[in-house]
Amino acid sequence: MSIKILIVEDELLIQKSLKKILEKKGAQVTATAQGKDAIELILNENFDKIICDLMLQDITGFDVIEESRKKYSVQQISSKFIIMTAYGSSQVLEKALSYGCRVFNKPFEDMDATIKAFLE
Amino acid sequence: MENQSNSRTKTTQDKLRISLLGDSTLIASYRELAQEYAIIDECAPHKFILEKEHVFCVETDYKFKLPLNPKNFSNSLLLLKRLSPFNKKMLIDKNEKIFLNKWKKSSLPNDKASQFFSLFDELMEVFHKRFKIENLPLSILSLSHFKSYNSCQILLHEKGNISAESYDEKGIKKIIDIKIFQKNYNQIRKSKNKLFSQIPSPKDELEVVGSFLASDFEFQSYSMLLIVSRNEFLRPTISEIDSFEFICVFLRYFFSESLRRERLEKRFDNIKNLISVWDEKIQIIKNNENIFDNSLLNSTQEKHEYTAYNLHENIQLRLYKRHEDMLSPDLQHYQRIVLLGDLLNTLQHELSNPLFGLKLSAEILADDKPCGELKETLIDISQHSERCQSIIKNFSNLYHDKKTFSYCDLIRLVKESMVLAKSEIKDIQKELIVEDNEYWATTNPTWFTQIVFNALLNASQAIKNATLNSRNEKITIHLTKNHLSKTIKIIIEDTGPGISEQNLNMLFSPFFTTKKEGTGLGLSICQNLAHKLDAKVSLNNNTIGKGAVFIFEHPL
Repeated sequence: MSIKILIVEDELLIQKSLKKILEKKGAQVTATAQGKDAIELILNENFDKIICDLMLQDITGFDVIEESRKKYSVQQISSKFIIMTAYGSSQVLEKALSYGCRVFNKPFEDMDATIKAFLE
Repeated sequence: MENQSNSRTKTTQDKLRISLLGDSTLIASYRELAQEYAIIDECAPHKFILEKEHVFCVETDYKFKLPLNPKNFSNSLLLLKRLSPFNKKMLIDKNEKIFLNKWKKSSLPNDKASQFFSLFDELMEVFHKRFKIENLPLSILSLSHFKSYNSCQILLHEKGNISAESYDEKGIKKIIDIKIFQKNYNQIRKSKNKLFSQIPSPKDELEVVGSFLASDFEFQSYSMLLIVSRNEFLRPTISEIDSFEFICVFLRYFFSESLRRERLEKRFDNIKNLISVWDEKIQIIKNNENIFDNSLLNSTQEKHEYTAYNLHENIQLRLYKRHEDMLSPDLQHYQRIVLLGDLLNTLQHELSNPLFGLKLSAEILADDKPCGELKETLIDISQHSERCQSIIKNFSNLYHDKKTFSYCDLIRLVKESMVLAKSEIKDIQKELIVEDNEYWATTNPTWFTQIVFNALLNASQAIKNATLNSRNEKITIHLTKNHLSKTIKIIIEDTGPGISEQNLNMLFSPFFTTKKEGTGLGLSICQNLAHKLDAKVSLNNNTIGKGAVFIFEHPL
């Protein structure tokens, strides 16, 4: 059975490209640009991985994670969520790590390794 | 000036307003005596030293010592009431001596009191009009004391001037030689009874004829002679001489006051002339009213900062300065740099996301195995967006003063600096000579890049200023490792005109620049950063060939 991935990213070029790359690797990918849509999807469906940007148009990626805690345990969140950010300040990084999530800075330094991490 | 005097006269015509100083029982006994002439404020600040035989009266800013004698106290207050319009310090002691301005004393016999007071009223009338020195001789003759005199002359010398002025009762002004003035002045001053010279030897400079009475006055900025004569050769009587002496004591006070006033007005006119040509707005304010300004700018529209100086009494000078004028060019430059830093931060965040998207999508399209040219273009797009991103990142790093030291390859940093300076050095040949493939050292990448970047800019600007065709010119960057001194040398050579002898010592001083638009801070900042890196920078002329050589010695 293929891995089910949700991409939450408001930069459409990145969103589409990632979707394409991951689909090529055999993943079943859903993508959205809105944080609120993402929360609805997360609560209604079951994703293996949620790749989430921090700076979304409506809310932040952290808000998405907070809402998801209604459904998932802390442990599940740390394994399901992967955070992407172009705003690599240490405060943001610290907060992301406090959820136990992996953080990838955009642009990805090692594309292959990043994609591999997304599919684990 | 005139208004103020009038208003003061009015209040004193009603009653004097005073405070009494002294111990409480003493004050109580004098309070009743004073009530007839004065309104007494309850408490007074104890800022004056109290002497045993006196009780103090304080009227606004002026103090009067009054004797501890009930009878004289009332008389003194009456006198005080008459004198107070002149705002002058006065002391009346137990022996009824009057001291005015500490210059002269004169006895005040009781029987002369009414004569004395009427003189005051006369003087006040004469001197409270707008004072004009030309009218003074005539005004003096109009006093009842000088009824029997026919001519009056005033000789006036403003200290520092090379000539003196003479005024007579006809209102005629003459300029006289300073030597003649001084001769007369000394003669009158040194005369035995000091106030007059009985037998005149008629001189051209003196208008008076016959016996005359004369007195010398010495003021802060003027010397003055007053001469009155009946135009006859009879000696003045003893009582006339007494009376003249008595009047002169008071005239002295009025003269000094009026001359001071005239001088102030002259000075004020000078200030006004100065202000009217000043290119910033200046306002003169008296009692919170604008009395003069050079009306350059509309005060309601401009942003301003003002300084106020107390010139005299309630006069203020207000200087309006526009804010942008307050900023030095260096501060403006600094502000622009701060703004640029913020701008770069925004740019980095706003551009790097879409650029990353561009790169990713171009790569994906290229992976779909399109035909040759299309694939090449897609790969180009991907590479160029990556390069754009790294340029933005490097610029932003330059402005982020990250105080983090890291172990990095200096060749990579030099190359990054070259990318940053690319637009500046694009027409010039460049060569990077390295002995090893990698030069690892612990450094602050931002500071390091900034130093190399600055050196490259200086080199390219020197070349461009000296020649129109910079294609034949060259910048060489040389990296060598010195194991003995444990340093890495980054040597940046150019083929520009080099540095003139006289400028060599000044290079690293802040604000020294040979460029039209330069701030003169570049090299001084470099030196400062190098110091923080424990490194050394130097700039010299190339010993072999032409141009300058910048040496940056970084510890291993």
